[in-house]
Amino acid sequence: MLKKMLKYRIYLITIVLLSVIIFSISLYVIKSKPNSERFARGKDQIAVLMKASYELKRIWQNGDLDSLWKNLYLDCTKLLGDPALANDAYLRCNPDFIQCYFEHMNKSKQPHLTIHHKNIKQNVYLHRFKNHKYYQLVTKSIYIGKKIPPMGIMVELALQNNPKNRLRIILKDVCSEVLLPPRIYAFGPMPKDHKKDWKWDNFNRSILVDKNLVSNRDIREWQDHDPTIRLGHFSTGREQLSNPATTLTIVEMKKFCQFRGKELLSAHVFDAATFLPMDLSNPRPNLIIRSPWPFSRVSKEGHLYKAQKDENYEVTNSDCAFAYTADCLKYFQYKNYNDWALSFTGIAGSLGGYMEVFDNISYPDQNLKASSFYFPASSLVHRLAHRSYWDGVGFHQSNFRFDEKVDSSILKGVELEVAFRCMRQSDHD
Amino acid sequence: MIKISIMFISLILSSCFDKNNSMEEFEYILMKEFLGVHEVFLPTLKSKEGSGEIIGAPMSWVTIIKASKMKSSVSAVEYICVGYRVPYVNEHNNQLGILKIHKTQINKCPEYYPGEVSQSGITYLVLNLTQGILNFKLMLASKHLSKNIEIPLPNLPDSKEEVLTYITFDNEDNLLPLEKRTARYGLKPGEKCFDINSKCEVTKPNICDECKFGSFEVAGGSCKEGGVRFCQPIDCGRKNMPACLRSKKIHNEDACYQDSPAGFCQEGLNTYCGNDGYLTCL
Repeated sequence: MLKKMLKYRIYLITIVLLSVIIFSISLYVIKSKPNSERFARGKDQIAVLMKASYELKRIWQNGDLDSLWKNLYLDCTKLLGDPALANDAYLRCNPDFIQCYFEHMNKSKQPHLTIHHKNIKQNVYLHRFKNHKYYQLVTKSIYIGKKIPPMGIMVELALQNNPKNRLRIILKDVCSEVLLPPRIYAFGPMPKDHKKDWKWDNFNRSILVDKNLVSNRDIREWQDHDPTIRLGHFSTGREQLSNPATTLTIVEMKKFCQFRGKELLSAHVFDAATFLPMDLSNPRPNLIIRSPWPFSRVSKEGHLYKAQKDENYEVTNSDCAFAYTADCLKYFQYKNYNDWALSFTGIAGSLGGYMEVFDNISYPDQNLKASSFYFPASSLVHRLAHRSYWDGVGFHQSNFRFDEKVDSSILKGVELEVAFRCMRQSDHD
Repeated sequence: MIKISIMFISLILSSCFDKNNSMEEFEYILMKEFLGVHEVFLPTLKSKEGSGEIIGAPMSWVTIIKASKMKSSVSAVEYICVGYRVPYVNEHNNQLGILKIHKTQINKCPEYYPGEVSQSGITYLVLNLTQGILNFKLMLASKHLSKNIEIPLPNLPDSKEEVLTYITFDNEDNLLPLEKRTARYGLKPGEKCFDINSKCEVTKPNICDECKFGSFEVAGGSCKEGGVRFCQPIDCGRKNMPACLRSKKIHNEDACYQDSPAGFCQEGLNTYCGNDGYLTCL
C-alpha cells in the first residue's frame, strides 16, 4: 500500500511540477510579448514623430517649394496677401504660410504629414490650439526659457493612430537675418583725412541684420499677439501684407523690434552691411576705401554714376535690380522680399526702393536713407551713406529734412512712406 | 525531491516577475526621457584605454550621466541621473552590470541607485556624446548580444540642429516647457543680467536669456567672459548712460579710460570710465 502511495506521489509531484512550468512559461510569454511589442512600437512612434519634425522643418525653412500659393492652389489671401506682389522668400519661416498650408491639407482631407517608416506609411497631424492656429508664436518677449529663440513657432505633432503621444517642437526663424562678417568697418562717407575715419569692429560678437524690410504681415502678427498695441496710422485692411510697413512712427518701430527681441537697425551697422569691402579676405584693413555703390568697388562706374553725371541717361529695366529709383516705376511695381540692390552681406534694398529709417546715435539728425523710388537715378540721394532726417513722427514733407543739394520739389507735397528693419546682437549665433 | 521542486518553481516564477526591464523598454524610456534634455554632464569616469569601457570598483555604483530638462516651467528643472553598477565577474562571481535611471527634482545624483527602471545583465559598457547624440554601446551576457543605443539630443547647444531649437516628447496632457511671461516674473528692462567686476570676477552669472527684449553689453570691459550686460532696451550713448559698444577687447588690455574708442556716444558727449569698470557717456 505504502509502495503504491509513493508511486502515485511521484506522479502527482511530476504533474504539479509540469503544470507550474507550463503556467509560468505561458505567463512569461503572455506578459513579455505584448510589452516588448509595445516598447518597440513606442520607439517607432518617436522615430516617426522625429521624422515628421524634420519634414515640417523643411516646409518651414523652404516655404512654398511646390509653388502652391503662386499657382493659386492655396487660398491664403487673407493670411498672406496677393501672391503676385511677393516673392518666394516671403513664405520662408512665415507662420502664416504654415497656417495656410495645413488649413489647405485639412480642407482637402489630406493627412498633414505622411511619414514612411519601416516601409509603413504613417499619418502625422499638427495639433490645433485654442486660437485655431496650428502653431503658437514664440519670442523671448512672450516666453521665458533657455531655448526660446528671438522669433519662432511652437507646434505639436501627434500620430493619427496614437494622438496621446505628442512631440512638441520649436522652429526657429533662420530665414530672415544675415550675419555681419566679423571685421573692421567704417561709418559714413569717406573723409578726406583717413585718420579721422569713424571705425568700429564686431570681433568677438555676432550682429544679425534683417535681410528684408519689416512687412505689414509682421506688424499684423504683432498686433494679433498684443491687442493693447495702438498704432496711429497702421491698418492691415488697406495694406498689401507682404509690402514693407511704412506708416509706423519711430517709437512704434522700436517697440516692434523689441517684441522680436531686437532693436532698430543702427546707421553704422547699415553702412557696414552695404559698403562693399575692397578686400574681403582681409578683415583688418588699415585704410577703408569705399565706393558709393553696393554693387561695385569702382566709384566711377554703374548706371547711378552715369545718371548722376549725365541728366540724359535713360535708366533701363535691368538697372532697376541695382537700385529701384523713380525711373523704375514705369517698368514694374516694387516687391518686398526681393533680391534687388543686394549688398555683399545679403541685405536687400541697399539703395532705392523704400526710404528707411535708422537709429543713429552719433548723429541723430542723419537717420534716414532717402534713396528711394521718390527720387530719380540722377539724384544724389542714391549714394551709400548719404543721409537725410526724419522726425520719426509724421509723414508730411515738413517732417523730413533733405540735403540742400537734393531737389525735393519733385516730391510735390505727397505723404512719404518710411520703412525699417531690425537687428540684434548675440553671443550664441 | 520536494526541496528541489520548490527551488525550481521559485526560480521559474522569479524570472517571470523580475522587475528588470526588457532592452526595448529601457531603450524606449531612455529615448522618451532624454529627448527633451537641454544640458548633459558626463562625469569623468575610469575607462579602459583604447576601448573606452567604463570600469571601476566592482559592484559599486557610478553616475555616468547627469542631464537636466525643464519640466512644468523654466524654474522647475528635472534632473535625470543614469547610474551604472560595475560588473564583478570572475571564476567565483557572476555579478553583472546594471544600468538604472533615476529622476529627481534636486540637483544631485544618488550614491546608490534604488529600484528604478533598470537594465541588467551587462558585461561591458561604453558611453560617449558627440554632436548631440548620446551613444551607449553595451554587451548583454544572457544573449551575448552587443547593443548600440543612439539617443538624439537635439536640444543641446552643440547639436548640429539650428532650426529645431526645442523638442520634447510626452504622452501626458501637459507638454512643457514653455512658460508664458507674467509681469511679476522675469528680469526688467535696464536690469543687470550679467555682472563682472574689474578683476574679471563674475558677481552675477549670465541669465541674459531671460531678458524680454534681448540684452546689451557695455563697452570698455576687457575680460574674456565679456562685459556687464543689461536687459534691453537701454539708451546707450545718451548722457549718463553706458556707451555703445564700438569694439570688444578680450585680451586683458585696459579699454576703460577717458575718451576710450571702445565705446561711442551721442555727438557732443565723451566716453568716461565709470566706477563700475565700463564706459559711460558724459
